[in-house]
Amino acid sequence: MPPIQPFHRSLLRTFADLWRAPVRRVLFKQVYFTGIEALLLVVLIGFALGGIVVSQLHDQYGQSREAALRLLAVLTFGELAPLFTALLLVARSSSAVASELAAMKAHGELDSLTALGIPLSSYLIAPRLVGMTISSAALALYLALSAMLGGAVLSSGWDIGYQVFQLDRFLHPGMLLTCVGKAALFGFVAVAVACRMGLKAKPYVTEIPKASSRAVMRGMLAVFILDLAWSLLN
Amino acid sequence: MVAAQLDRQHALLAALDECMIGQRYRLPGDDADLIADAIAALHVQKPGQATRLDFTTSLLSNLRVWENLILPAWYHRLAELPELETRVLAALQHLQLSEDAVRTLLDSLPATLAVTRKQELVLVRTLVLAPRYIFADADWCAWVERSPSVTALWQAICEHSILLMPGGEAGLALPDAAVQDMEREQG
Repeated sequence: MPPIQPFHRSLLRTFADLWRAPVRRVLFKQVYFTGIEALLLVVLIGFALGGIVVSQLHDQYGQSREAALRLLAVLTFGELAPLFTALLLVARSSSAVASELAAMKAHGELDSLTALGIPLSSYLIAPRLVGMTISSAALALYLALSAMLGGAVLSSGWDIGYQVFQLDRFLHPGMLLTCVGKAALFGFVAVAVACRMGLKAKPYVTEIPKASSRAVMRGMLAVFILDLAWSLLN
Repeated sequence: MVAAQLDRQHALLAALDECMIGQRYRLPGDDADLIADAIAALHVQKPGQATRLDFTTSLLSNLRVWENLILPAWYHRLAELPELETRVLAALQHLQLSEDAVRTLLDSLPATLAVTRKQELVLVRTLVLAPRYIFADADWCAWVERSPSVTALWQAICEHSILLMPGGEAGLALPDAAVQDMEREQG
């Protein structure tokens, strides 16, 4: 068996540190702030998105409920849910992560952590990467499902029971996996960019809003480039 | 250059092994990189057994005071939570606060506290961690010794740790010939 390289060993140690209680606490807080606090917003946006897409499809392609919902499922699970979730997370959480890290740097808190023997990669970065990746995947799934519900309500009105029970005809495991995988990748990249912008900031208070703004702009750019690459590869 | 720095670090670490708890030592020069590297190396050998105290040492603004006080010892798994709670309450007794004041203080965020209170809490955190080695800035030590509110706290910390003062003139010389040579070179 080949020896483990120092970089890989350090990476393994960083993620193994997620089992430490204080690090798990940071991870749970990240999932709470990114995933749970944004849930209602994401569900409402998903519901509205489903309604909008179905109304557009009706305008363009006629009144077939089944065709509209089938197309909505393909669009939402394959493209819209991961992309919209990533954009929401970039706007809402990437800016928060970058400004928090930049503020910690400006106030000497990162140096204090290092002096106490607490690695920044283990305590600050890994739980944010994992927390936002999990949250992104879960939120994309909720957004997609609420979009389907919104589409079903708009196409069928109060008679949506039948459409909801027919959803399994449009949805298959591959679509769900694509949605979750894509959203996890976008969330991971967005938070990685945010962490980098926060840690790269100069240690001045005036750098905090700059780090936040850079995290949003570069995070969005990274997400769109990744989405384009995903589309081209498929 | 790198080899020379490593030699100095090894000499310093060897000297630290021979230091005695409760004593103060002066470190030759005030090389921030050497001290940072030595602290990092000590954390690899003995996690949580070294820290640095100076005017830039701070609490984490996104954690409540109680989380700040237990964080290093909790992270390094030096004690279980009930034991840490006991240590925190014992350390806070040195600040002579009422029970209500302690409860309010533990639940507050550092941003709501005065600068002096935050410095006191940095000392409380150090006492809760109880590291073997404390690298303390000479000006910081002078400030602490001039502040009557933290005298008892500081004495309790010094009793259980080895105090190392970079660039300071007070204190013992490090007990190692190689480091004493470094000191002569600096001089």
